[in-house]
Amino acid sequence: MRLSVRLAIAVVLCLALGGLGVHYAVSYDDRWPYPTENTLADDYGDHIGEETLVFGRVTAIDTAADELTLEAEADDGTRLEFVADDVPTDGGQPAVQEGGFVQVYGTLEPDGEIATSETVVVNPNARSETYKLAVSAIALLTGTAYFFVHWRPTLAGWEVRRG
Amino acid sequence: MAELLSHLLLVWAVLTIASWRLEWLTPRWVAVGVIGGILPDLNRLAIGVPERAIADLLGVPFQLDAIHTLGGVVILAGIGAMTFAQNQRRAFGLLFAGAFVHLLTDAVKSYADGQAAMWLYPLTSYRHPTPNLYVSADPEVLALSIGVAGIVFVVDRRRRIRPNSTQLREKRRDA
Repeated sequence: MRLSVRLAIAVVLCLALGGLGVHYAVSYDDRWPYPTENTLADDYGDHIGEETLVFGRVTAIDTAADELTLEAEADDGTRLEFVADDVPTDGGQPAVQEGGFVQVYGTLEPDGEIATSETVVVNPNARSETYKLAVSAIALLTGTAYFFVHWRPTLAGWEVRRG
Repeated sequence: MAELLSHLLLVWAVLTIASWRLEWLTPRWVAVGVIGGILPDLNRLAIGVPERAIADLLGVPFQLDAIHTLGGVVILAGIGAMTFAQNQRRAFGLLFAGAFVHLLTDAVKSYADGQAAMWLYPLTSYRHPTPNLYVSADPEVLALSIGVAGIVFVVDRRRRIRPNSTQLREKRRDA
């Protein structure tokens, strides 16, 4: 395939990718089965009693009251605070610390409270995110290096590295 | 998503096993598949380039998470394939295969409501049930991936050292 043709196809595909990103964002609230953070930021009261799945960073844990406070963010930066009535435990201790990240599935109640059906601890603490980023950075470097062992860049595009 | 290292190790293992049956799937093409395994996680660019800034620039809502879907990786694999001087179709196939293994691995991780992400977008917004096998911060996921890749590496080395049946037939014929 000629370079000019490949360039033209790549430009069209880049535009398609941009369009996909826009459509994904515009249609997300309609496609997601629960009220999203955007929806809740606009009209929380209309969704009380509905099921929800919230993704948020843990800001406080009250083991005595069995309450987990988490913070989620809408696309426009509005911060939403939720209080889930379940602290997940592991060996009798809270399975998550402040700074951790959780998914909470349950029913929305007034004042940001959630009657929790299920909680998944995604990051037990703030360090978990650093761990994932560090390991992913190693993967990015080694994966790219592995590719460069076999391929070399030329003006016409990637070509097989010989010898 | 699991951390990227687990994804790339699993992509490498799957494609290396496939190479035992497919003669054309040489290590250089496995390497292309490994790069494909990175594609879905390019939505992580949002860490460095805030989506809000892109949306403000475009004047319309925009989410990089579209990349972490079937439609996103098809387009990205297409763009990637166009950067190859030859064999663009094969490059597309391998980039897509790597990205697809990545998405499949993510399709079995934990969700509190028991249903996976809408990764089949834009074909459908269906969220299939997930077996809730892992969360991304589980070190066990990385340990398992290293174990699987290690076993595949050892078997692959043995296969390369040991002459295959065709070579053996040729040797017998020459004798």
